[in-house]
Amino acid sequence: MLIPKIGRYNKTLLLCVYIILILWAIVFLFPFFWMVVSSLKNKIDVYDSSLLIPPLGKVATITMNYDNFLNAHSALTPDELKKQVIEETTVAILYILAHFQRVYQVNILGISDGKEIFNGHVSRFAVERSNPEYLSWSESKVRHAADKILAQYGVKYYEKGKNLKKEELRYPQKISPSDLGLKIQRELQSLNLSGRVHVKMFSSILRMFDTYRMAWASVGGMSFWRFFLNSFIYAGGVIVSQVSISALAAYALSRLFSERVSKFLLMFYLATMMLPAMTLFLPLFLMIRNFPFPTLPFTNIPFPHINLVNTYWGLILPHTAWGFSIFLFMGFFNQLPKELFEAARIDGASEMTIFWKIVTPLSKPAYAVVTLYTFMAIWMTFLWPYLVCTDQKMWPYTVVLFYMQGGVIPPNIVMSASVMASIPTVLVFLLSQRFIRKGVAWIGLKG
Amino acid sequence: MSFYKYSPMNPPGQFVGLQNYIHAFYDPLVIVCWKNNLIIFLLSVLLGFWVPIVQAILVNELRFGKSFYRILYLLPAAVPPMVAFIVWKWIYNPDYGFLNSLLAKIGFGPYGWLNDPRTSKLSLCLPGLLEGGMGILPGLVGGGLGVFLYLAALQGIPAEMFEAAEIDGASPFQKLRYILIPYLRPIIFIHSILAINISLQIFDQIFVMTGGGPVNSTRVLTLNIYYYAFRLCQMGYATTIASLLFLVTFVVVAFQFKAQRILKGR
Repeated sequence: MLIPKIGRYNKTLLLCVYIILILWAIVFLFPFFWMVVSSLKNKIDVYDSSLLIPPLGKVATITMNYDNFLNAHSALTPDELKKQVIEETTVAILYILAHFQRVYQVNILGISDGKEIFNGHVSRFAVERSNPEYLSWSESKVRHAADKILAQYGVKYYEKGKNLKKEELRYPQKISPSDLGLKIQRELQSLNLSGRVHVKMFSSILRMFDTYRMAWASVGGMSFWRFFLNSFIYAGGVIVSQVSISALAAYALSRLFSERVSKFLLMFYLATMMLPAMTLFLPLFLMIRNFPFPTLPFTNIPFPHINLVNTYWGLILPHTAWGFSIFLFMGFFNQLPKELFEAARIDGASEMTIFWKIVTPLSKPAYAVVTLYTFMAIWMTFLWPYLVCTDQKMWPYTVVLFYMQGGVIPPNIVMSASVMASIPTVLVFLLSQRFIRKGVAWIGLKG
Repeated sequence: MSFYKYSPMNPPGQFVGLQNYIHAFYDPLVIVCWKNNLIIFLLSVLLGFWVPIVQAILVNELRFGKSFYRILYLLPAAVPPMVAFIVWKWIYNPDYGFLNSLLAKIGFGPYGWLNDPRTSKLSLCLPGLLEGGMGILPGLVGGGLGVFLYLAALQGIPAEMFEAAEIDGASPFQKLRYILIPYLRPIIFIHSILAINISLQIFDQIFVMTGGGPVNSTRVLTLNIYYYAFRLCQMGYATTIASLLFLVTFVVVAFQFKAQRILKGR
């Protein structure tokens, strides 16, 4: 507009506009980028802010070669041999996981005389979720619990040896040139394991998303589904009550009352929008605690009341109707032609019939816009659920995020939880652009 | 309730008349809150009010890729504010955050953004400058959706005005001044009302990011109400502050409406 669309225009000015917009977008979209990047880092790297790209997750494949093992240790019984091999396997796996933070999974393969003795893979996520104490390295403890560990993480031990599926695994490849592989190999060899150790590193992007799996179940042992469900129930309840009550109220305001009365009432409802939320929340909380009255007003006679704190009703009831939705509905109803209503009244329809049969089907866009706005507003609230829900089971995800960021939970898991929490909102937003635009246009016109 | 010394066990408690109000008048903590509120409001207006307007005007100018830019600029509004606060809190972390490491590369010393009483208010308002949405004006018609609002308004301006101005030889800046701003005036008025309201009512951001600030430097009225009501259980006093807040909001909004009427009359 400022730069004319037809004819000659100032090309440098347009270029400046593009450059400014791109730079500005990069700057303000950076926090989201940083959020995703941080969520893909591991526990140690997340504290290093100079890494703009998360380091690729590594998978270490260890091949332990036990050729000539039986010959060298012929004095031991088969059971003791098996025990030693199992202990060494476990030591190797957990040593790597404990000391090399960038390795997210260890695949282990044991070979002896061309046959496969054990095979399995253990991911860092599995260990962290069930037994994080193994990651604080103590060799004796690990050796002690070797059987249990292997069974728990699914490393299979074949007594008689199994035929190797891939023939080339019989001969481990040349030493891999990666520094990390060499380092791991050297450290494992320093542990004096009987088998010959060979390490090969792979990169795995999929393993980096394990932080999301950790975040899914990290608060109070409940999965995130529960928290989203809580938010959903809260939003759903508020939407139902809002849509029904505000639509009726708006219909009354626009069609049933006279101009002056409806204008006055509308001002009144809008004024309730101006009230600071905090001013309302405190008396509301007290009312919710003893719903409806603790005693009859101005007396001391106890009145039957229930304690709605920490229930869904306590969450939903204060949001029965907002001035905003009444405002939106009224704006829409005012646009409906008056003749429609007069015709219906002449035909003998009662007001409720008019409302249900005529107005509601016509005002589907208004319903959509109000539903959407209510959903977005409730989905993002923090304060009211924080006051009302004292029980972990009842928290919506906003309160969960608040409690996660105290400092106990590593930041990369907090960031993964944030990413997961923002995905539904972004999806809903992108899919409902049309309605948002409509709603915004109405606000603009009516204001 | 503010006229009582409210006791949660035995409501309503003891009637104390205006004593709560007198106490609120002289309480140094409440005076600090008023000051903090004022400073935060001024900072947010300075840093965040013009951002949606400028962004909308610029986005409106584009030729191709318009819908792409529109979605890009609306993304901050789609993200829940809690997520934004948590991410910004992590970025502002003095030891491990991104900002300090970036500044260290350039050469500026590390700042304690949210932990330093001198910079905490500025750090709270800074995201608003960048995103026009995630900072001090979150919510329905704050920054992110504010861009939407202004865009919708800008598209309502008839194109003939601009063409006529172009024929008359107006430069882009003159068009801005004489056509755009008068058309945007009602929207700017609504936006200013909402800005004042929201900045008087912020709670989530301050609670999550600083929880009152180091040495009460970001303690605002709403935070004060919360602390008095739910931590110290002085409900009567808390409602006193709440009603004072309400009065101030009411006065400010009434003042704005009067001002608009006077301006319109001119």
